[in-house]
Amino acid sequence: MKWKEISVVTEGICAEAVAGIFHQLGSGGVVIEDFQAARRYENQHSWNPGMFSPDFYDHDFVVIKAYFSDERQVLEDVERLLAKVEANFGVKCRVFLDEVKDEDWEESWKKYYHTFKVGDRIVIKPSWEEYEPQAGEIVVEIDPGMAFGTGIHASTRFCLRFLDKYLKGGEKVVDAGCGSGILSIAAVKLGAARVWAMDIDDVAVKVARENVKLNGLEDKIQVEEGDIIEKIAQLEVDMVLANITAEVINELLPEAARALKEGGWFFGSGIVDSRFPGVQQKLDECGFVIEEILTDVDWVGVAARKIRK
Amino acid sequence: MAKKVIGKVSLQLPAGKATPAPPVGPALGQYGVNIMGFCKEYNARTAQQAGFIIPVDITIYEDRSFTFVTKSPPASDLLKKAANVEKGSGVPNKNKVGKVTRAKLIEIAQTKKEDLNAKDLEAAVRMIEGTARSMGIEVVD
Repeated sequence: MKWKEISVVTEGICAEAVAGIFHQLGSGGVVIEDFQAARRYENQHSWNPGMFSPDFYDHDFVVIKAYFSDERQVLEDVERLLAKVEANFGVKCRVFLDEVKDEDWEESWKKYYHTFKVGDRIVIKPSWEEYEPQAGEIVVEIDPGMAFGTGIHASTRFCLRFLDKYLKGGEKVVDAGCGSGILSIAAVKLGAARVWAMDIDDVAVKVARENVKLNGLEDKIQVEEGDIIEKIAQLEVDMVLANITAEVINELLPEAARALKEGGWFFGSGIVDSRFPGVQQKLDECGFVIEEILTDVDWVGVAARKIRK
Repeated sequence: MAKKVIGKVSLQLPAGKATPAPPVGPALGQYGVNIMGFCKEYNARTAQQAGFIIPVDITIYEDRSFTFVTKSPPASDLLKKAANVEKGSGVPNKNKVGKVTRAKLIEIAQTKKEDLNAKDLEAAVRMIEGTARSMGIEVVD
């Protein structure tokens, strides 16, 4: 997909007003860069800062950038609204237009993603690397693409550790908010009989399906797009994984409690420590007992058991 | 030893709704940061402020790990809330969409002073006032 990159170089005093224009036009966010970036514009775009004022280097200059899908004609609106900013603040705003493609940044982080181990047995291997497993190791092959779940983030590691410790074999599992599918694949490789993986994000669903195929587990893992809470209501399972956020976990818990058999497991992760008391209370209300809590800086992961149906 | 910093990025994003699409993708991708990892952290920390735009300053280290701090919502969001309007005016010089009192303006400037990097309160007030006018929000005494 192609994007229009609109950059406005101006004085710091009106940065908020320019950002406001982009938000109003529905840019979905802005980037604000400092004076150093403004100087790069000077070099790259053979732009003469003298047009601003003779004391250019005494000013606090910034670059405010926003992105719009290539088909959207927004430049006229931007320029019209900027004229008002210029008049109000008595400054000049200079607009630069560029084009970027998804491919320009999607692959760049891969250089820093390598094979690594979680616990004693689980090996996470990027699909583009080679690895010779040692005895007892299980290898999860992953190309996370633009979906969450590389295995590096603390919240994913917590779930992998819980799976490693509590999965006995033969379980039916729900992976709610599956992202790249990393947890579903690990669950089956550790012995789960069947996994229903779900995500509301179509990119995640596509990536998860590719990863399931990469690991040859299409017969055991079913990846579905849609609302997790609706889907889970139709199932009866032994284990529910939810590496999402505290807010979504709290919403999901009553349904997870209905879907889980007595003694079944709920692994919750993606919880920031300040929100953990809320999750604890909800677990209690829904008939769960907490068996283990893992923490890393301010992230919390919880393994809980359903004690009454 | 402290890790070497390779980049700093400031973004303003909808709370709880960051995605790998621009501006997050290109802004962080150029430094080799795991983009989805950032989205997850940002969304988990800002979920409770849903509906606001929340600015965030991200520091990226040599090993591509990152830390970030979130800040108060941008002036345009606070002004919209103060004036009780949905969005700014498309033609701010002609159509006024709402009003804020000068006292409210000063209150917003005080909240935002540190985040705005303003020299003093007066400079912060000037920033907020200009932002209000640019959105078609009138300042009344």
